[in-house]
Amino acid sequence: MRTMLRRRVLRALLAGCVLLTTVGQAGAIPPDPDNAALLYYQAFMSIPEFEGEVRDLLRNVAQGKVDPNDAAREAIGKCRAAIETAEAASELSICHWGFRFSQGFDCLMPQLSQCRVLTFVLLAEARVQAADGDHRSALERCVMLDNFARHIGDDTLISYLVSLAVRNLGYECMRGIMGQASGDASLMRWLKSELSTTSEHELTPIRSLKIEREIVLKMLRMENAEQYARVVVGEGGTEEEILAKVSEEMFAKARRIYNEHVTEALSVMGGPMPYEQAYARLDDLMESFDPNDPAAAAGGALAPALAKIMTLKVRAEAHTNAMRAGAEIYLQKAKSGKLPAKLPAGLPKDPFSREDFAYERTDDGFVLRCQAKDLDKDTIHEYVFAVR
Amino acid sequence: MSQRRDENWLDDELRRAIDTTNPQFDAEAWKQKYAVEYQTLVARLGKPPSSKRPIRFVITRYAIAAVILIGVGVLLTRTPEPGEREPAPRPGPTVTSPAEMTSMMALRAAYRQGGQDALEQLLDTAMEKLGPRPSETPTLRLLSDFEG
Repeated sequence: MRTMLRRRVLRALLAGCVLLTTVGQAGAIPPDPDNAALLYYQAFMSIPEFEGEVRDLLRNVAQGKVDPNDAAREAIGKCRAAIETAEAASELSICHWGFRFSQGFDCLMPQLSQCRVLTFVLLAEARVQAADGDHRSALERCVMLDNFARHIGDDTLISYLVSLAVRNLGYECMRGIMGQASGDASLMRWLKSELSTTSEHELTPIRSLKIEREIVLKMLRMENAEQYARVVVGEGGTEEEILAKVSEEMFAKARRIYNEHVTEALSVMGGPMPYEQAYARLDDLMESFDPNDPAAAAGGALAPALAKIMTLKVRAEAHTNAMRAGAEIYLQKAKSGKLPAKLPAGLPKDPFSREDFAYERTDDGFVLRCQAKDLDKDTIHEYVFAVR
Repeated sequence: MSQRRDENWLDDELRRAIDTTNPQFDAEAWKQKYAVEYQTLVARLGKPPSSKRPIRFVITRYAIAAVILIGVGVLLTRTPEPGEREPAPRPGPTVTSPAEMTSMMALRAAYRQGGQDALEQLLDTAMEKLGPRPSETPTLRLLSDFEG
């Protein structure tokens, strides 16, 4: 009797639990998107349409060319919804923009234009916060921009270029604010820790090159000859003239040559070769497309400037490493009250030379200088850190 | 909308749907050509035809417009059969969408020709042509716009 009663109570409890769970689920609010791109698209649509003058003002404030004024503050205030939505997006780990790769080189990427505008809005806000003495919020905004750059991603070479540009703008803004907050040890400690995690999400052209290789190999076929003609028309001749010269045999040879070149380039970029040597190898690879052979010329016309792309990668690494080293130097300065006499040991290195950055104290702060040339720009990069 | 404006709108729609530019209706010639029919019509009305439009004619025009609009609607909403999916080539000038300046092809070409600066300039130009969209239309206002 007692057992039966227990069973009935147990069943009633179980039924109650099931009912509660069902009702609970039915009334639950659907979750927010887990794809950051969906939120970024909303942020883009929430940026008001500004007059050209205001757009220029925001850009100049963002780049530190002019100090934030009332007009800039008002414009940023109107972007509040966009900023908050972008902030929510930057906290997500997944970001799929929904590129239609099936369209090959006709794939549209209008969001990249909007990415630039949002970048200027976010950086202008960071400058305003810094001008108001809220360095923590300003630096958080710069760190957020680093996430945004990672989200723009490296699906295509163009996205890779835009993401690097966004990251560089963020770093430049960050450098200015670090100088203003260089006496705050806890803030510098926090920033150093934030910067150290960016290596986990390093942007690389390798993924973009692999995707682009597949797009090109698909395009180099008779059924896609029209798109091929539109892509290479800038290299000489009209579309009709180009189409008159193509054949399945020519395309087959072009596919083979292009694939060999890009596959080797990928191995050079992903391998251990020092920068100077890798640059020379990639330069040779580009030169080895025979312009007198139509198939090789086709492959060459479709291959990106491989040495230049690799230099972009190394340049981006150099900037990131300089920022990390700079944060450590600022931290030491905040702790001891003065800049270290020589470069502290164990800091990230200059990837152009694979050596430590050259460190020099100046009247305004310090400079970190690469020890080897950027062969694409024929220059030695240096990163100026001010102390105020 | 007033009756008069309504008729104007209808005239415009009909003019758009039917080619009304070439043939000019010559009433006198028509009367002479169809004298018997004309006299029958006059006798049926019991008075000479006035310059105002008869109601039946207006209703007929409404009916024609309705048929045209329904026809256009059906054509637009109909799902084509698998074999019909290929669009027929249409004559006339090719219009390029401004969005095409943001294609991978166009952006890549810009970078190839002018580097990062050219790429960014093209992205900024695209921005001027395409957006951003103003955000000053809150959801509630959108709803009230739809509901009238």
